[in-house]
Amino acid sequence: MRSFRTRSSTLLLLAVTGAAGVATSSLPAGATAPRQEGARTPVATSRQADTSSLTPHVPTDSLPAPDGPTGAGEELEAETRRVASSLRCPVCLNLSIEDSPSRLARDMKDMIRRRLERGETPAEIRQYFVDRYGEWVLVSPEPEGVNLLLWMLPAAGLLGGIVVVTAVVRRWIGRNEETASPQPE
Amino acid sequence: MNWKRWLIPVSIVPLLALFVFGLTRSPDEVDSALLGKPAPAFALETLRGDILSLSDLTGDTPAVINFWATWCVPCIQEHVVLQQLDSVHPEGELRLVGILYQDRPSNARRWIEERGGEWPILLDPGSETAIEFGISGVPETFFVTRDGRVLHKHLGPVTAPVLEEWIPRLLEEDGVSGQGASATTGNGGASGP
Repeated sequence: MRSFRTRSSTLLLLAVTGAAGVATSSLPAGATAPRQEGARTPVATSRQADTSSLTPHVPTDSLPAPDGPTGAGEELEAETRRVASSLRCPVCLNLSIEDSPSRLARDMKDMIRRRLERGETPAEIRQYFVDRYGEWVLVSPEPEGVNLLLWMLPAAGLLGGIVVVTAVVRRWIGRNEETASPQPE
Repeated sequence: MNWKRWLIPVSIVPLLALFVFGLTRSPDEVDSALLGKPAPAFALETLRGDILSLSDLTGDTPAVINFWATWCVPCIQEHVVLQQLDSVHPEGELRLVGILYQDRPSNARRWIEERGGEWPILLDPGSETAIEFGISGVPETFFVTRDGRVLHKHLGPVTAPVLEEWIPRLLEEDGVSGQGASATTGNGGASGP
């Protein structure tokens, strides 16, 4: 009786986990299973907690079509990811919209997708965010004006370093040669 | 060679000064790109089901647009200050609106029932208007002139001194000049629920 109970509970456990696995695997790629109401969700970062349990949010336009993503859909997703990678998440420090788990970044990514669908170019979309958040929102600032310093300083530093090292090495070699050469009597 | 003695200090001091200056600045403090520019137009549904647009708010009166959420702890303290603002200035003199950020309307209704507040609360599904305003967290408050220009943006909870400083300037604004637009940061604020 006891072994039957153990076996039946094991079977029940397998059935439940199996069903959960099927339920999860039946979701299209990229989609997340909807959370149970009130279920605790892990905190994404110290400053940005996931609020899916508070406000369920699975943007319908982020899910691929039931038949699977078409070629155009895949292209749109790839372009969305490219633009999202070039924009900084306003909530997290040093994370792009693409990499950020925050709700705002997700909303911004949805907006990028919608604007691409409307026919806007990546440059126009980036400018849209710059107009609202400032140039700070660009992961790589445009190499113009004062920003040029950011691009030129590393190269200038490298060149300066090479000059200094060359001068030091030449002086060092010169001194060695002086000490090595025999003194005339 | 005298100049060689000065080479290292001359190259290190500016870098050190830049580093120290960087330490004094908050990484959260980013000036709004909208200052002095027209506030983004919107037409959003209120908690009561009406539609309210930016042009309904401005024109005859300046407006204070407050982004908030019920999960935002500093918004509790700010709510009292906003209630005072709403009671002191009649609707014909100044319009105050709240835009709910990443929150449920039912939570906002409960909040208003518990704490009071007569000003319209607008719903912003998908954070579209929040993104239009360049929001990075709540609370954030925009002081918009009669002609719909952003005069000031305040990050963090609005306090009585902030209102004392900016409301007279907002009321005095004739809606023509773009001078004096600025951003300030208060203590607190939440970037996400």
